Amino acid sequence: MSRLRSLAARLTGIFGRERRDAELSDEIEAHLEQLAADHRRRGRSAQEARAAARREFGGLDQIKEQVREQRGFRWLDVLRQDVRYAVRTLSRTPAFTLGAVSTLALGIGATTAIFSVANAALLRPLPYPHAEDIRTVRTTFTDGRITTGLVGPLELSRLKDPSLPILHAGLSARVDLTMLRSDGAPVAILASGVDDGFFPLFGLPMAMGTGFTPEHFRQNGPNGAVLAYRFWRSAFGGDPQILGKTLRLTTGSMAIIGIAAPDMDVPRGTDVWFNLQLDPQSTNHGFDGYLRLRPSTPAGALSQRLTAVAAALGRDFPGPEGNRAFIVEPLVDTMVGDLRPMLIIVLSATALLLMLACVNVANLLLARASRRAREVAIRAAGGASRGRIAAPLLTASVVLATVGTAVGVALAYVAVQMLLAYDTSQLPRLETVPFDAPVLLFAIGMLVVCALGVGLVPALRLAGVGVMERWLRESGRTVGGARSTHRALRAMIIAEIAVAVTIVAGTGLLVRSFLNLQHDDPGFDSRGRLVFDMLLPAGRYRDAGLRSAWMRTLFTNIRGVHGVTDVAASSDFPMGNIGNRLLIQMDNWDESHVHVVARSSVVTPSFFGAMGMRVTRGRGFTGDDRAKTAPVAIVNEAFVRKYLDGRDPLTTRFSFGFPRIDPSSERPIVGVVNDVKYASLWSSPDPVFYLVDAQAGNFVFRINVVVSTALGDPRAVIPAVRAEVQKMDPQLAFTVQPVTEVVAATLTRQKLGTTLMLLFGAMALALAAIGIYGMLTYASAERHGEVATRMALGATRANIFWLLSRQGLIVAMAGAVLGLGVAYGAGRLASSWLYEVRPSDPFILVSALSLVLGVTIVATLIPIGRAARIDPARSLRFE
Amino acid sequence: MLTGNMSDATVMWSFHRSTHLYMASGAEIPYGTLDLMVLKTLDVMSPLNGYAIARRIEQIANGSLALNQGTIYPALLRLEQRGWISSEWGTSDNNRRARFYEITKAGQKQLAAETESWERTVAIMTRMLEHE
Repeated sequence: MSRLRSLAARLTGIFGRERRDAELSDEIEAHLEQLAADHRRRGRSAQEARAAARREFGGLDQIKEQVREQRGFRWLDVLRQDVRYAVRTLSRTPAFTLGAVSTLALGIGATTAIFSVANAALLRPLPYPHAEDIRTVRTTFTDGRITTGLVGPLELSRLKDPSLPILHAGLSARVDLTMLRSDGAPVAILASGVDDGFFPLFGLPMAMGTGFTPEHFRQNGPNGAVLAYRFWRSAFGGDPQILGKTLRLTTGSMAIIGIAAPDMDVPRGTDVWFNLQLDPQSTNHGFDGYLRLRPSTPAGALSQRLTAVAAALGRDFPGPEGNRAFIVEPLVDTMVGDLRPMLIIVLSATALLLMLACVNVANLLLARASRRAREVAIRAAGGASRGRIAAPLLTASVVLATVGTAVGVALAYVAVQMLLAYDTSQLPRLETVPFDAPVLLFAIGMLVVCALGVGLVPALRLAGVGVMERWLRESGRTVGGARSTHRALRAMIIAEIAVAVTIVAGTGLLVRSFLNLQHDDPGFDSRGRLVFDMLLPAGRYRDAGLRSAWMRTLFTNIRGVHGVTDVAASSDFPMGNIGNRLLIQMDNWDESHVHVVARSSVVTPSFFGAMGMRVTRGRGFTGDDRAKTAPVAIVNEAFVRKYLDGRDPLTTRFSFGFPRIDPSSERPIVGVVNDVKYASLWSSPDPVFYLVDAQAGNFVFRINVVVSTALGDPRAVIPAVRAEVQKMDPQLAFTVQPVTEVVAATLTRQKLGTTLMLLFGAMALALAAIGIYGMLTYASAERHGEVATRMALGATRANIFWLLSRQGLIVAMAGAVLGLGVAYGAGRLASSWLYEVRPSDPFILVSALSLVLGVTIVATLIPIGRAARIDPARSLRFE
Repeated sequence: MLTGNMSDATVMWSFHRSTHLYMASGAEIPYGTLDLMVLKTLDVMSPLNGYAIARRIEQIANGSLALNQGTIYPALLRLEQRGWISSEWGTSDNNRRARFYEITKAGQKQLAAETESWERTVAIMTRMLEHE
C-alpha cells in the first residue's frame, strides 16, 4: 500500500517542480536561520553564526539534489543498476548464458513461427469489410444421394428474399480459358463467371473502372471482364490505359471494364471475372454460393430460416430440389479446410516445447543461484528485503527472456521465409505470412511468460525466509535443498524425457510413413514419363470426328520424336484433377443397390501401356473399339473386389449414369487392370471403370496427355513435344511436367509435416539433454560438501561417479519408459496420418529410445565427471 | 570476507545510496537507520519542523553521530511519500514560516515493525559476531 502511495506521490512529483523547489528553499532557509540563531545565542557574530549553520547543515546543493531525486523516479535508477548487474554477471558465465538464451530462443522462435503461420491462415481477418458476416453455402441431399454440393441459380434467387437475415447472395463458377497475348502466345488463365450479387457481397471497391452494371447481367446484355489486380500487373504490366481494351481469348473476346481491388481473391487464384447471364429459375447445380449475413445474425436463426427455404424449394420443385438442405460455413473455414487441425496440433506441440525450454532455463538458474546461497543469506541478514534479493534473479531472467525473444523472433522470421520457399506458399492463405501486430504481441506475451516462468521459481526459492535462517544457523555447510523442489524438478525432467521420446518416436513414424509414401507403388510407373493437360477450345473442336482425327495426327507426330515410346490421353490423371463419379448398376442388381458410385475415366486405347499399368484379366482397349462397334468397359481390381461379389468380371455387364442410371449405357466388362491411386498416394484405390474415347460419346475438352519415353530424364524431349503441339495449334496453352513431379507435389503437406517434426524432434532431444544436465549440475553442486567429505574418507572417483549418476540414470529410465507408452498411444491416435507404419513398429520405438537415452547419458556424464574431479582438501577448506 | 560481501551488497542493493550516515568515529551506519530515527522522534514528539527533528536526533545520539542536518530532508520526503508522516506549513519559534511534520497511523505501524526487525537483526548479528 505504502509502495503504491509512494509511486503516486512520485508521479505527482513530476509536476509542479518549481513551486516545490521554492518551498524547499524556504524550508531550508528557516532551518538555517534557526541554527544561526543558536550560534548567535552562544555569542558568535552574525556572520560567524551563519557560516557555522551552513557547516552544520551540510552541502546545500547536494541536499536539494537528493530531495529532487527522491521526488521523481529513483527506482528507474535502481532498475538500471539491476539490469547492468544482470548483464555483467551473465557475461561472466558465457556458457550458461549462451545455453539459456539459445534454449529460450529456440522455444520462442518455434512457437512464434508456428503462431505466425496459424495467424496468417486462421486468425488474420479476410481482407473484406466485415468478413465475419461472409459465408459459403452448399447443398446436400438429406436422403443420402450424392451431390457435388454446388448450388444453382434458383436456390440463390430464393436466398435473396429480403425477409431472410441475408444482405447479399452471390455465386461464381470457375472456368479454364486460354488468353491470347498481344504477340499471339497463348496463356492459360483461371476465370470465374459471377452473378450480380457477387461483387457487392464482398464489398471491395474496384481499383479502376466501374465493374459490372445491372445491364451486364440481363439476358443478351454486354460481355465484360474484371481483371484481378495481380493479373493486371503481371500480364499487362499494370497498363493505366487498360479500361475499354479487349481481352482476347481463344474462345472469343471481352471488354475489360475494371480492375478489382488488390485484395479481391475469390475464388482463390482467379485471374479474370466475367459476367454470367443466368436464368434465375435454372436448377443447374454448378456454382459456388456465397452469402453475406445481416450483422450479428445468430447461427440458430439462420439455419432455421434456411431449412424453411429448402423445404419450400423441395415442395415447388420436387425433382431437382427435393430433399436438399443448405450447409453454411464461414468463408475462412472453406478456404483453409484441413489445415486448421494440423496447425492447432503443431502449435500445441511447440507450446509444449517452449514449456520444456522454460523448465530447463529455470533449472539452470536455480543451479547457479544455489551456489550463491551464502551471499544471499548474508545480504538478508544485512537487512536486504526479500524483494531486493529476488530482484536480481528476476532481472536476470527478464534479460535472458528479452534476448531470447529477440533472437527467437529473428529465427522465426527466417524459419517462416524458409517454410514459404518450401512449397508451403501453395497452401491456402499462406501466400504470405506477415509478422504483424498479433504476431509481435504474441512474442511479447511469450517474453513475459518465459521471464516469469524462468525466474519466479528460483527467485521464490532463494528468497524464502526459511532457507536463509537455516543457512545462517548452519553456517552454510549444507542448504539441504527443500525436498519438494527436488521432487518437482525430477518430475519435470521425467516429463521432459518422456516428451522427447514421444516426439522422436513420432518423428520416426512420420519419416517412415513419408518414405513409404514416396516409394509406394501408385499403380503406374512415373519414371521416364511426361504429362501435360490441354484444353481443347470447344468452338473449334466441337465435332467428335474432327477432334479424334486431330488427336491421332498429334500423337503420330509426337511418337516420331526421338526417345518417345508411346503417347496416350485420358480424361483424368492420377493425383491431378478428380474425375467424374457416376452411379452404377450391375446387370443382376435390384433396387436395394441404389446410389452406388464409381469413378469413370475416358482413355485412348494405348493409355494403360503408356502409363505402365498392367491388364490382369481379359484384354485392354484396342484401336478396334470404335464408335460403331459394341461398347465395352474395363474396370480396376477394386471395382471387382467391391462390387462383383466373386462373380467373373468377364461375364458381367453394367450400366451407369448421373443423376440416374442410363439404361442405354449397359455394356460388358472385357478386361481388368491393376488399381491406380487417383485421389492421393495415401488413399486406398477407388473402384474405377474405363471407357475408350471413341465410345464415350461426349468426350471432355480437357485432356491429359501422357508421353512415355525410354529416357532417364524425360525433360529432354519437352521442347520437341511442345513444338509438335504448337505446329498443330499455336493457340493452345499447356505446361509439360515430368510425372514424378506431379506425384511429388501431392506430398507437400506430408513433407512439411515431416520436416517440422524432424525439427521438433531435434529440439526436444536437445531440451531433454539440457534439462538433465541442469538438474545434475544443481544436484551435484548441492552435494559438493558431501562428495568432498566422502572422498576425504577414502571414497574412490568411481564410487562418487556412481553415487551421483544414479539419480540421473533413474530419472532417464523413468522418462524413457513413460515416453514409450505415450509414443505408442499417440501413434495410435495419429494412425490416420500414418501410411503403412504400425505405431508399435519396434525398430522405430527402440531407435527413439536408444537415441534419447544416449543423449541423456552423455548429458549426465558431463556434470558428474566434473563433480567427481573435485579436490576434497580445497573444497573442505572452502566450506 | 563478511565485510567484503556486506559492502558489495550495499553497493548493489542500496536504495538510498547517497544518504549514508556515519558514526563520529567514521564508521558507516546501515542505511535506512535515519528514517527509523526520524519516525521514532516524531512518534515521541509531534509536530516538529526539520530543525527540531535534527536537533533532537543529535541530542539523543549525544555526540556519537556525525549528522549533516540537511540529510533529513530527503528522508522526510521519502517518509511522506510512503504515507508514514504528514506535513503542514506553520510558524516557527522565531516567527518564520516553516513546515511541521507529524507521524501518521501507518507510520506508527511501520515504526513498530521496523523496531522489531531491527532488534532481530541486531540479535542475529551480535550472536554471529560473538561466535566468531
